[in-house]
Amino acid sequence: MTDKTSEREFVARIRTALDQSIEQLDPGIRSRLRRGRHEALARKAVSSPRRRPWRWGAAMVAATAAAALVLLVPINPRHTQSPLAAIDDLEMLAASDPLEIYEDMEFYSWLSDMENEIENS
Amino acid sequence: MPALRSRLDSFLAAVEKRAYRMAHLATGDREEALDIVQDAMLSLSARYGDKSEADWRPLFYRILQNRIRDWRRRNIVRTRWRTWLGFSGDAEDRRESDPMQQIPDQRYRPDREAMHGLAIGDLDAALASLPLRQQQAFLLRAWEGLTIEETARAMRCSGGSVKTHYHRAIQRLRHLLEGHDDR
Repeated sequence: MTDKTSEREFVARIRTALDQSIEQLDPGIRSRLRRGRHEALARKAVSSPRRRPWRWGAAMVAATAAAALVLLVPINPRHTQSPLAAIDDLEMLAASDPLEIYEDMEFYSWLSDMENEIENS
Repeated sequence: MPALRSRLDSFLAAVEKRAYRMAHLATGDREEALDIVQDAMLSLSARYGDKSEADWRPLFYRILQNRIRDWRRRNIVRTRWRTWLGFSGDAEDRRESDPMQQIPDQRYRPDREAMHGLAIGDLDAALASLPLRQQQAFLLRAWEGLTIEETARAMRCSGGSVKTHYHRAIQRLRHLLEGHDDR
């Protein structure tokens, strides 16, 4: 068996296990998800985009402060964080985009990606 | 528009459980995971529900991954502040630092759920121990079946980064679950 084949089989086993795990989700969680979905659909009609450009500046300041905090504050020795995880953390903190910008930007960046894809195809 | 609402409802019903599992693996917390999924559903339906139906799935996963990433960022900052301020909530700190402890032990009952030789409790612990980007790349590609390009858009990174994160995730998972050499 080649390594590629065994990798495919390994991934397929994980996929099967994950699929089965969602079939056995706690009924309480299923119910909460259903309620959340209905609420999301009910609120669709009343939502409208908010534009708050000042948040870009605030987000950059916050991201800089957060990254500085991570760089300057020594990790608690009990926190056995791997170097990879630490880099992952830093990468996320350095991103200055606040939650709110996704409200408007998700779709515009999505459109931009799609346009690039069409141009390249 | 009842027809649109009905289609959106069907779409969200089809993805909500997977989304919850992804959010739960990333946060280790049931309530946080439910909040993240609901927020993603709300954002998709409120802002993009009238977009092309073909775009819903990748858009939904982009929103979901953004929400997870925001949660992780807030959590990192909160943990660092607590360290800086000298707060030592020993039990909670240990829980936050140990991915094995972040998997609730009541819901999946790994002793009763060995699946094709893979206990879901072991799998959850292995997935939860991955760096977030590796976890996202693996779940979106291997489980949700997104293409490299779709995964890259959902994760807001390049296709090359997706391949790297995915490859490292596979190596790590095989090492953890099969004792496979990940060097």
